[in-house]
Amino acid sequence: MSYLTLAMAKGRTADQTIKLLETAEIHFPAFNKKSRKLIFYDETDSFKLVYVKAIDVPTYVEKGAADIGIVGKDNIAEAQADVYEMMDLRFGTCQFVLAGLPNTAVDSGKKLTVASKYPAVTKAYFQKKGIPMETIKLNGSVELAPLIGLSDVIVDIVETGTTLRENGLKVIDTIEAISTRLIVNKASFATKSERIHLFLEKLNRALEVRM
Amino acid sequence: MLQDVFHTSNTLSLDDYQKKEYLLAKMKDRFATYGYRQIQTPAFEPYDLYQTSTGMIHPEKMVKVIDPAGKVFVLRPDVTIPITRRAAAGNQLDWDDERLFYISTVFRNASFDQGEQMQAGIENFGLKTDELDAEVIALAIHTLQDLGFEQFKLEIGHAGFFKELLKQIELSKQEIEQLQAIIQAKNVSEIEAFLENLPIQPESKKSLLQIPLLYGDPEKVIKHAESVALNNQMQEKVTDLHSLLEGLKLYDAEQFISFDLGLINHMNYYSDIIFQGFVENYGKPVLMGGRYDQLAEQFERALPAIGFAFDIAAVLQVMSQQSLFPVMDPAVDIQILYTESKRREALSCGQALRSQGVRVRIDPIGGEANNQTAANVIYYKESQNLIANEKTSRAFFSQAELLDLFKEGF
Repeated sequence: MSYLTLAMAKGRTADQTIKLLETAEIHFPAFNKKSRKLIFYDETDSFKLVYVKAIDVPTYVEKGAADIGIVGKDNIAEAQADVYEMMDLRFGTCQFVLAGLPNTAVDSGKKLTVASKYPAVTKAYFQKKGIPMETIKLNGSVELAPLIGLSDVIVDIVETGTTLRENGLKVIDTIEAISTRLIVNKASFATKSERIHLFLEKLNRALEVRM
Repeated sequence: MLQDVFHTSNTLSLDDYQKKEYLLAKMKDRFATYGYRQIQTPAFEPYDLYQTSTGMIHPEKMVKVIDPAGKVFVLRPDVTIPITRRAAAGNQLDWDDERLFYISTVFRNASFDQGEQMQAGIENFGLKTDELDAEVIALAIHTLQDLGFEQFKLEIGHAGFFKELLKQIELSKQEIEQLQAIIQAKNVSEIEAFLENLPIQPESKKSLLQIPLLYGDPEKVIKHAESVALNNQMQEKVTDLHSLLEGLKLYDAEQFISFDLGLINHMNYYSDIIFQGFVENYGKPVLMGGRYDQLAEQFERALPAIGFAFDIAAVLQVMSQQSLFPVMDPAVDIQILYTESKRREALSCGQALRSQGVRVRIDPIGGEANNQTAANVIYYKESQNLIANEKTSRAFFSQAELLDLFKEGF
């Protein structure tokens, strides 16, 4: 029988994902975050786990390289992938926020410069608000941008807000709540519906146990 | 500049082109066996046609062209609309005008590698019956089988079910769009939060929450949908699906279908049954279709219709992925190489072979074309005539002798 392929995001949510899978009695004995291996198999040889960069998980799933993906909503929203988003796994929670220096006006009518790791999310947000803007795509330390005048404001994910505070930035608006989600490839959903359904049920039960 | 041309995905290699022709031929043959005849619509069409057809194709997405008189045309942005218009324009639809198929390119404003999309599909302007719906879906399945697919599913939904439900609630256009996006993504976790803040009756809310869950085994979906339906209109749609299922059973199609009432097509003209075909390991549907009974009304004619179209680039890609193409014939079966004094003999032999349908290239010995690529090479040399392939070679004297050698399967 063919494998059901799971794409799991590297990084902060990987441990919790593995724990959840174990509660659902799906074990990947060889899995080790420090290992350089990227593919793991479960004990029953029915699941294949591919361990990839979070931002790539939606791509793997959309293109059918993986049937199922487990990744943060931030990456799903940014990738705008055409997939089913079927479960909220309720961990890895944080928020998309708009932040800037105190007293920054966003609706002054003047074109706004926004720095973000998430240009697609940023654009969608401002389009909805009808505020003219320009994005600057950064890959890290986004908080720096308004401090040195690279941008007026930033759009970023915030867990506790400590980084913002330490850099003297304030949350201007909360855009969207984020948590880890389970996404499914549309073709797999149609062609392997039974197995995917069973898997989702298992995870649902595991989630209830954990609550 | 020249380089750009080769960067678009529409520039197929010769091998890919041959593969595409192969799959199109398969489709044409299959469509024909269900009584469909080929049609072609103009590439340039009046912009007005698509402006009056409300809410079907976003004006920004159409490629516009202006003629010297200042009249605006668009490059064919859709096939179903012009075919429907043509069908609606006729006073009396002939019996053999009811079933049409096409292989056409549609143009959209998009990045260059997506701006041009080839579609192959059918339109059926017969009566609105369950039998016809079942037959059209059976044809889609039959065609997928012809192409060699084994693992595929047609997801069947009903555009009317959700539309009727929407009539029960009052939402802004933007809210409806958001709701559709959530349902399309089967985002069960977000739909509840989204509905919470909207002014909707609890009963309608309960039904809306169930929509993303109405998928899977047809019998189960029908049962579930019956409990979700709020009124007679919605019940009727469920009955439609039930009759369709009974029809499909007669085609032994059950293993290839599943129902999904959360299926919402981006083309607004679908009115009843809608469906899309998925093959294993390809994230996008390779075919989409459905019933669009009201479309012809925009052209002042009541004309029920159902159709579907394959995305040819997608089919080509998955068929290559799954190695479903047979070994393609080489361009040339035989190469004839001749020395100048025997040119007449060589040409005569070549023409005789071509008349029999053999693919032949004739070149002078010592020219640039002497690198052997064909399986068989015939030499007309000064000293002798020779036919050779990888394994063996034989001399021959006359053309008749050569043709005999072929008949024996040299």
